Amino acid sequence: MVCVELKDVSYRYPTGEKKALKHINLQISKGEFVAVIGKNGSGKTSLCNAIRGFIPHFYKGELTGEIYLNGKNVLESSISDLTLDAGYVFQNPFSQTSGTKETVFEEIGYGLECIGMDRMQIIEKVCNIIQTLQIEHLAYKSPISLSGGQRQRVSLASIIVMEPEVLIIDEPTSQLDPKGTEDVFEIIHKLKNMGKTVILVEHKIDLIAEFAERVVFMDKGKIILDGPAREVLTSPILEEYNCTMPQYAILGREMMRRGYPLQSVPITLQEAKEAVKPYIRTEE
Amino acid sequence: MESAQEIAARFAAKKGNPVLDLYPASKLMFVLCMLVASICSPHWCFGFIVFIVCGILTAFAGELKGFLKGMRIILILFVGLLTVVRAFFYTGDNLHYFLQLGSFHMSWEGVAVGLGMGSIVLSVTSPLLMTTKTATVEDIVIALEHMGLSPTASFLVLSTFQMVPELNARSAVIQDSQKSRSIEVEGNLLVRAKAFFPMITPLVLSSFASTEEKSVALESRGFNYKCSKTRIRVITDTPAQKRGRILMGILTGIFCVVGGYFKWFA
Amino acid sequence: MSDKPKKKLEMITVALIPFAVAINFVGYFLASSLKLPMYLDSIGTYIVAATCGWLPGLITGILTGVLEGVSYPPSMAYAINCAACGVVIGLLASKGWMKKFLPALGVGLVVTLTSVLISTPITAFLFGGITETGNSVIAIALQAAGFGLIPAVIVSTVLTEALDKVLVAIVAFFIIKAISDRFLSKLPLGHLYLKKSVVQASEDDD
Repeated sequence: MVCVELKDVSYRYPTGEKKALKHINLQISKGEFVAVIGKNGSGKTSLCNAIRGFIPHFYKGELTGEIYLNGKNVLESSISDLTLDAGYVFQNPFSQTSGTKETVFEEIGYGLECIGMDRMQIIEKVCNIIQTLQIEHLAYKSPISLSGGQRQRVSLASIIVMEPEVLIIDEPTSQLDPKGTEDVFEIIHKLKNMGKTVILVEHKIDLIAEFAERVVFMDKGKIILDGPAREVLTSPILEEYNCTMPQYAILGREMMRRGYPLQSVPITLQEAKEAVKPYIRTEE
Repeated sequence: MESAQEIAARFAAKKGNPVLDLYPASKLMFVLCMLVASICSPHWCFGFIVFIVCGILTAFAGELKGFLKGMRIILILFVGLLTVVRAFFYTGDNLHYFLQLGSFHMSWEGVAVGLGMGSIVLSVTSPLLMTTKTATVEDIVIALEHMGLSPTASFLVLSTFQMVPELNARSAVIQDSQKSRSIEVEGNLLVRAKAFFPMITPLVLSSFASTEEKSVALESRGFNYKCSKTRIRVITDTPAQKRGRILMGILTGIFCVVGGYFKWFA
Repeated sequence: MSDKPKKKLEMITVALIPFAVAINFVGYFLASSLKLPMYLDSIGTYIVAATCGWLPGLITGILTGVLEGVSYPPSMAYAINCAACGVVIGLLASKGWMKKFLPALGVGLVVTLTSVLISTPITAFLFGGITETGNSVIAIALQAAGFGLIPAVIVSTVLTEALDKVLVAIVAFFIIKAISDRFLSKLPLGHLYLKKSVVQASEDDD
């Protein structure tokens, strides 16, 4: 089942001189874990904004083409109409709290309150998500007292609890320290295991290699590469666009270049270990 | 972690104190009744009676210290100073003077007028302060929602109450960083005035930047989703309190008619 | 706060209002910590009213008054005054008065007039001419000099409000100038203050 569909989408921001998206064609099916990579300004966030309907409903500007989310025409639905179709987690940990709740528990339940869910149902769902994401120790703290990493975990919980069809996560760790990043990626790992449809924008290419099944590479508003993670992340085209590969891919390609053939170019630590094994001489 | 039932109970829990647990509408009704009654009261002691009653109720709730602290300045200004000023400057015929200061005389009638005005101020500020000390903003907003307050309005109130201390804290940080960049804060008026702008501008601009993302984030969580909203936190009104409020209204009405007659017509 | 069915508030305005109220408070605290003889407690109201309209200005004013009233209840009576100032600023701003420096000064003066008109009856009839600020001292001194209650309150209010409200108008004017076009384009009255009128798309952009 196709969850996200963009047909020949082009877009320019009201105060932008150049187009942020150029002739985008994209289809994402239910259950896929798609990573979007590219340099700053390549259009990754604009793509996410378009899928969720922020473009054009919030950002206005000029848009051509068609966008469908779970079969709904995004251009004809409001941002609120699509609340349960796609959840969105933003980069900035500090701008996603409602600012009206005294406890993290209620903060997580805020979205469910907004859609008018029954009170006991809300409480049960929030309990479940807190236990699943292992943030019990944060449950009764004030949302304002949390660190960046803690806030992002709460933001993820707040969106996941609404059980949207698609989860759009836009560079969630760019403003976090290493510990915060680790905590967030633990949750993303769980999302993958739950079989959720995820669109993840990230710069940390090594982490993407661990999770993504499919990778979309963008540059200057266009989709340059779109395919299985292994193919995209080891493609020489990335180098042409000055985009770094995962470090294990760099290792693998360098080994091959220097005359150490490998079955395939590794992109994760596990694959790298397997690939290098034949070349490790153990003392007999 | 507790079970869902236990958590549900936690978010509906009463504090066990009759004053703190009063449904906010009852407290607001009290404020309104005292306002109206004090205007129609023929004697200025009404305000002081209200003040004492509110003091007792607040003490019962364990908030007497805060209440008295807030009332102190009101007593000084609107009972003390106001009475003295009115006593001196009140003009009229057949006044009974008792004190002379320079060319000004204090009259008993002036004192009575001053105390009368002070009484009205006391009658409204005491219940208001009692309400703010013994009820949380959230509970007051929930009670207003039951009476028909829109979700947007309740968001505005709650968010504002959380935002003010947050921004104050941020401004303290900016103040320190500006001082360390040698922006002068001591010296003559012009120097200090010039320091104001670079202290407030970063705060305003960063607030604007936050607003953009915040508004998109809120909307994407269903802020404008068309349905009636529910809430995890609940407060309950009791039939006894409902009857109490009606009774309060009726008694206030009777007091106003009788008191007003004596005040303005007898 | 009751329902506003006639005019719909945009989401970005709703998100901005709490910040504006908070900025009002911060302005007041900064002014007192720098020991300036002004309140400077309406900067947020000015900015919101000028960029979003009279209704957001009104709401910001009311919320400011209510919040001040939590710790000092008499302030709640002046919420009407703050609200009226917000309305005036919004109406004048929508006619373009906050676009240039001199008309912005004019806004400050009109707001001073509004403030005097509305707060004088409140101060005189509700509070007998007494306020918690230096206002009262001037009013009392004037009464001692023979002025009646109302004239004394009017004069003392004008003296304290004029300087404050005009200065706030100037501060708000310069702050609005510093807001990026990108953000202004999203605000209801933001188009009045854009630095570039229309951004031209560059050619060959495919």
